[in-house]
Amino acid sequence: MTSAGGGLNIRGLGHRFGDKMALQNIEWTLPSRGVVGLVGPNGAGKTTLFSIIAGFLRLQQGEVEILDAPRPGHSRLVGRVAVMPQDAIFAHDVSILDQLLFLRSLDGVTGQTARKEVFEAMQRVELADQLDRGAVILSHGMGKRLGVAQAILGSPELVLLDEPTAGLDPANARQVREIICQLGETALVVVSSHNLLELQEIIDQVAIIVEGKMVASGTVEEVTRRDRRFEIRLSKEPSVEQQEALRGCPAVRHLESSADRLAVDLDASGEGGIDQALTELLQMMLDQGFPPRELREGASLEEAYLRITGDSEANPE
Amino acid sequence: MTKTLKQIFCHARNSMSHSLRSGSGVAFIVLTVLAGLALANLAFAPIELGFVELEDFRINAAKGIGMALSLATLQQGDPETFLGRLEAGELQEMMMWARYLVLDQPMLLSITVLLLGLVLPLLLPLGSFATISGDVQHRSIRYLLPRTTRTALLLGRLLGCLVLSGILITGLVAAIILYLGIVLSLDSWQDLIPWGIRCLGALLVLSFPYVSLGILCSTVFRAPMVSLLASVGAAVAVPLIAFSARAAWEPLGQLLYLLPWGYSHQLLSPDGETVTTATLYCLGHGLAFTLLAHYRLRRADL
Repeated sequence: MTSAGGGLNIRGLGHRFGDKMALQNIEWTLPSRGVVGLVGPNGAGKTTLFSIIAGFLRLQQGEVEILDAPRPGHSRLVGRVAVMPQDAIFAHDVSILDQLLFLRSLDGVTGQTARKEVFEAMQRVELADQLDRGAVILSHGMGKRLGVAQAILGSPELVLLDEPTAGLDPANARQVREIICQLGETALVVVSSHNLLELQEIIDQVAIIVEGKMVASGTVEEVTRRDRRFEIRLSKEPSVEQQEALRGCPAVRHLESSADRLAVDLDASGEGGIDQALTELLQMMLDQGFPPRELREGASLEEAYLRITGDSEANPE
Repeated sequence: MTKTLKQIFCHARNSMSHSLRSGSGVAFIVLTVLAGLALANLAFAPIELGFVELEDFRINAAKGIGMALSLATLQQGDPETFLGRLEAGELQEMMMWARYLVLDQPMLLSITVLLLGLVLPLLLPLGSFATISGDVQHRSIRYLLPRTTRTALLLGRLLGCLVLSGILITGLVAAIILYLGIVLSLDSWQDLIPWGIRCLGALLVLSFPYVSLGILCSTVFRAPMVSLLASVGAAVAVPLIAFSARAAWEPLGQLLYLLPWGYSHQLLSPDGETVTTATLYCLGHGLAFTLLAHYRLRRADL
């Protein structure tokens, strides 16, 4: 993984809520730019990790260096970190414009410049026409977009987005994804999401957290091909007999079939390693009369996630 | 440093403008104005409606204030011998003080300000109980924290509450002085204005510890209503507990000094040194509550 270089560097992080250990010995190093996904089951510790990085929760154990500041919430970080929390709400009795202007004023930006920035941010999430209203009239999805708008105000160097597209319609979700990608060109954006297919499109790196432990982290490529899985696209769905024949191949440890796709775990422990195992598989497919149309090493993020978190019934391990 | 100062002023301004729009803020403003005017009316009514002669009222007020001050400062001793001691001159200091307030200074203004001094400790927490807990409850504090330090947030909100309370108190005292000077005309403007400024100063100084107490409760409790109950409850409970506990064991009466109840009246003392000491005590109390609130907020999981 890329070294921090002013990004995020977490060492030995632990956090406890009463008797429950919410995070255990987290080690995570991230560069200063790019989009990073943080995934894990409900209650795994994602929001706790976000909250510690954002400085909402007090650091109990370990070290967290952010943008060269020695700890979260350090005065050096003021105005450089933006957060879209999952459950925060804007004040209902004050107009959205006033609330966003206030946030900008804390960054030292006031007057017409602040108004222009606020208007542009709200335009990017298509909420510019709601500026003079109170947040009380916003739907759940609009509230989410408002959260994104406040996070992109100014020029944050670290942006933490907790479930930014949850509850959004497809068009708005796509728009938010585009904003995240743009942000990732100039800042480090950490996105927590359960929508792994969506996440796979936009992230450069991913970390998987389960029961407070970071069980995998790295580039999407690294995480998804960890188990030497291959995805194969075919011209048509193979018959049951053809699938059974493939399962009989000594190099195949596990095989899943879904319409015109096969997901195959290969046994690379033989003398010829993964190349020999792959050759045997492809030869078998040719012999069975269904040549591959496309071959891709590594599973999708979702499959890798399910396997790593132990949620996949299909995983024989 | 400059940025922190700017942020403090930003928070103060925002806190004040939010108070004018939020339910609790408006309730605080309306209740303070209503209570202030009601107390003034209570003090003025006997004279204004002609129930008593001015001189009789003055003598009775001096006695009443002397007794109240003795009670408030826990110098009453055995209740059965209290009146005897009062007449024997044992509580001379308190009687002198009372005479100073009603004979040497504009009497109605003194009485009103003394009553305000009793009621403000219960009203001021209304303006500060939600300063932090309101944002914590709705988690909107999470939008603020990345953009500001916890210190700037706390000091800014405190400043906002103090300025708003100060404006309200100033408005009340000004209204009372104007009414006394124009409608009742019992005292000359030369007497009313300097004494009015002294009274205003006393009330402003007194507001600091009680506003800070509200803010301290707001940082300790995450639910605004609990914070309100705690701050008003503390203001009411401290004198009640002190008086009750004193009956059991005299030193426990010192509990009264957990809040400015035991010395707040000294802010209107004829003796300058006493006033200075009381002012310093008030500021010290306010500062202690602020430091506790700061310690609590800095360590809080938000």
